[in-house]
Amino acid sequence: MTDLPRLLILGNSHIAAPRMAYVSSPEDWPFWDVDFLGLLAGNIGRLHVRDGVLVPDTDEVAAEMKFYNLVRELDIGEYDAFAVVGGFGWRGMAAICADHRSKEFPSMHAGAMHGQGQDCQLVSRDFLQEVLCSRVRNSPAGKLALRIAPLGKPVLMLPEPLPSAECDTPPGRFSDYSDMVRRQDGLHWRQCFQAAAVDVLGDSARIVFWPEIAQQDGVFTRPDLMRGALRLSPHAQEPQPETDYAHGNQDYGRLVLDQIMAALPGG
Amino acid sequence: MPRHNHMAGPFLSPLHRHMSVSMAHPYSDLPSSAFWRHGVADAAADQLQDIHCPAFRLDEADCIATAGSCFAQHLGRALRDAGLTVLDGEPAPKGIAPDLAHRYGFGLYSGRYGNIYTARQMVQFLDEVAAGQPDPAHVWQRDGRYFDALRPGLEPNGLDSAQEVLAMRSSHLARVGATLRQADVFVFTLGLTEAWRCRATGRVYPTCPGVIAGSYDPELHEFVNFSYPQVQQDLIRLLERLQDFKAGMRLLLTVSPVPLTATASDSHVLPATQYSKATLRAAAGDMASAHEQVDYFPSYEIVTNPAARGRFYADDLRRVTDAGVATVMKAFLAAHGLNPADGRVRQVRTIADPVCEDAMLEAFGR
Repeated sequence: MTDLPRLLILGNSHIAAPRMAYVSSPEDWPFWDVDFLGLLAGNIGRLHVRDGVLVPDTDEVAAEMKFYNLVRELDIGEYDAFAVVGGFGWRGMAAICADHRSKEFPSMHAGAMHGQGQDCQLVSRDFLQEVLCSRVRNSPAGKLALRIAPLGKPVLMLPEPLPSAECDTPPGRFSDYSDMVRRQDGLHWRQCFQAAAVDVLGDSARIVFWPEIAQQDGVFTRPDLMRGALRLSPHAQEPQPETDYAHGNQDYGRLVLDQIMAALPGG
Repeated sequence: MPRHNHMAGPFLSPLHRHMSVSMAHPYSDLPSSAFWRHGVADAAADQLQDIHCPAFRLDEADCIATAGSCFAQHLGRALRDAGLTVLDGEPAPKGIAPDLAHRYGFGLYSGRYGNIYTARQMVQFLDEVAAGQPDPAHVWQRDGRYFDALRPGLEPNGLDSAQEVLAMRSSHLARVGATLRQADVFVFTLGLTEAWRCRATGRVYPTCPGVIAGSYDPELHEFVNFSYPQVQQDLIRLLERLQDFKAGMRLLLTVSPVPLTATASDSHVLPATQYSKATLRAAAGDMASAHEQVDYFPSYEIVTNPAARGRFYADDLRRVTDAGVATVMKAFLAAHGLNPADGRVRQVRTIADPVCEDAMLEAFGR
């Protein structure tokens, strides 16, 4: 035990980056005693708070929690702050505007006000914003943050990294995102997402968006901050496949930790 | 000249002599469903047999488009659940919650045109689709926001400008046109005979100006209650318009069993409702009788069946209960050989609360 205030960083596979950074040099962040808790993909949304204890909603998730974190539940009443990393599903939100865009999208400016010559449906800004708000509210990170917030401790939320700038090399999982960027719609959609996140979660958490220095063109992460990312599992130290353009590496994790420390009280 | 009594005396006609021997008459060989006692009084309202013999069968190869009053939303859903191809020219983004999609007019019909209550509005809409040009006269305002007067419930908060309304409508018309050119069957549920229209253009609105948006002005707007000949003519024009989009397109008509929320006809809402439904029912039935490419399905009759003793209506005696909807859909699917028992169809789901703009009138009820 230390006298330092305690911080719990929770998240999905995207906590691997800050955890690697912290494990390699905890002395770089000396003012908080930091613990990590991670689950796969959307399972952080299946954690509930009961009497101050973080409890998985099924035995399967409890087993996963045990595998990755060596505990089946966690008393979080003693923590002084929380940071939820990942779990927004930002990249997947590009699919929403793949076929539905409002007049505010840069790609719609040319000829859009006639509703013709477009390969998508012209819809309202309100509709898209409501869809984004719904996505944020129902995201694993959103659910978790809204459950932790009643504890009355500071809650930070950090979306998963913007995709690597190399993500459009092979067509596939990132095609909606790459297409969005190619249409010049990325920055606009990012602003819409940020507004939705603040709108839905702003009363419960402080949302810390991507580190400026890590960004490329405002829509990607610099590839050098993603290559060599490791898996969530503490038992597997192999780097993610070369085609993983979603996870940050240890250097990215340092930036995330710096952001968290700066955003915490006294930071 | 005194009328001759054919049944009296020893001078029976050959027909009557035959009948007196065999006791046969036109009713003697009819199925039990033709008799009120067997067909209705002694039959379970939710187990109707042989209620409908389709003029044409729907099958998996058919591309179906749907439109109409809010009850039509149930039919579209049932067809989709039955594995049939229900066209949707303006689908919602993938993965969004159905409630949210429905609130913005997605997934209700084959396009985001909202509820179309009258045959006249449907015909006028098809004319507009064919022309591909929205009329700037039909943009309404509310609290500084702009609404498409022809689908005012589509955007709950309205749009930024009249220009945006027209741009969205233009895009909508193009997509609906493309959808109709693929349709083999058009399913249309008639809802009302009463409507409000623009005096200058004759354009019929789905709601009274001022209820959702816009403002009512007797100089600009007028009430109309379409008569049987008018509805009949509109249905003929409807079939013609549809077949202009695709030759041979078939038309399947139903009448919504949902009563009027309110009438502007200066009569009591009960006879006003019955006038509306009787007119629509007669016109739809006659249309089906006169055209082999038109069918009428009796959803109205199934819900209003006296044998149901009112249980197909919710407590407000207006909304149709899930049991009523399920009974209609079961009969419809069975008539088309799509009975869930045959394993080709999935369980029919119902929509808890179909989107109905006319329900807004409840706010004005006394």
